[in-house]
Amino acid sequence: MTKFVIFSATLLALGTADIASMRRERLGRELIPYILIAIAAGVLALMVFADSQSLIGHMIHGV
Amino acid sequence: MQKISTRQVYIMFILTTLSPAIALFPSFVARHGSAAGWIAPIAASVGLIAVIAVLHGLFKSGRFADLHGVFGGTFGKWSAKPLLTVYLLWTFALFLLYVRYYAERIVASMFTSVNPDFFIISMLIVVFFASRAKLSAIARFSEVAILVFAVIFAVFFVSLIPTLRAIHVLPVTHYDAVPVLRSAYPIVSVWGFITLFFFLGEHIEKPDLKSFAKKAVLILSVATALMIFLVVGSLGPDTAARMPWPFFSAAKLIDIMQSFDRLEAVLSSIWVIADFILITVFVFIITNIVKKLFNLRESRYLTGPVAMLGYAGSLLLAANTRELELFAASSTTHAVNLVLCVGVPVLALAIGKMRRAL
Repeated sequence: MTKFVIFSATLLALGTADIASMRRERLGRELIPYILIAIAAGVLALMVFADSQSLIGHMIHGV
Repeated sequence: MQKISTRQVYIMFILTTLSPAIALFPSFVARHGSAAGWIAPIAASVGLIAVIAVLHGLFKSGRFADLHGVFGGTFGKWSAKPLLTVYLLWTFALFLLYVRYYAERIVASMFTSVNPDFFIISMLIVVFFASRAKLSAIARFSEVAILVFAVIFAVFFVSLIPTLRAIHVLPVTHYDAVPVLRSAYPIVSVWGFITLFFFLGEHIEKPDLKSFAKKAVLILSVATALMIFLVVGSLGPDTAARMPWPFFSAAKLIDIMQSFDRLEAVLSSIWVIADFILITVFVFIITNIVKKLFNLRESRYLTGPVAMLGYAGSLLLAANTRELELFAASSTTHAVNLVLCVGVPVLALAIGKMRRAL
């Protein structure tokens, strides 16, 4: 849990810094992929810190 | 924007193949090609020449700057986007694979009791800052790094000669043709990475793939063949096929005047440079594909979440080195690599010629 909190806090801090430096006129367009990748990173982190089976493990042994 | 030359692209390409080369080639080639496996890179060089010829055909008109443009011009705008998404997902998978491979190698060769998290975080912090800079800075760094690797390779080769046993790598007869071609398959698949560099087309001066191509193919095939020759020649094909890191196991045999040994730790730490270039180039490719996919003006903002995803994804990808090896050496992985890095460009060239789009 602590690791996930640290991970999320880092992601949030990075995101805030990046968004602050993005150009305002194209902010909407620039944000979409940023948020999608950040969500994917968050989901993967949640799975890692919840001790989920590895992705290759899923492929080998099934779900 | 400061652009990089085709020569620098080839240098970066050679360096990015070094990490997969020591991780995959010796054991795979020893398993399938046995004593004649060291010929496989020479056979694979024919495949690499064909890939370069196809890429040259795609870019020689100068109508398209990168692969996104080529796919849009040949397959049509609506087919290009899903294709680009497939490339993005596969490049992400390879990125996670090589981040984890790097950490596992350091743990296996030097710090057996340290958690791989530490090495992944350290590498991704450096990659995060490097990928925010210009690609030309990485290209210039690669020009220096390749000289370091040339010296390291020379020392490694010379030091391994006393441990070489001719029976492990000879004789080679015409009966070995089929096993050699089978062993060349993963090598062509890894060397196909050169295609992915052309997603960075807007960072490259007008691609003139013919210049420096012969030298690059020669350097790559001879260095890889020599590496396999010495590793398999020292350990023997049966032992090399069963080992997780035969390159480092061969380095353990080096004993200079009974004073200098344990060179595998030195080699492993220097190999971090090749990992750094490989991972940074993958981050550049991923952010450039996303940029094209979403019509963005800037791509450097994306390096933060991509690096964070690299950390979580590489840990989730595999539970241990065995799973990594299964994934990296599986024929499905090589087949997907071949389809995306060789098959799709060939198809684009054929369709482009028919539609007179190239």
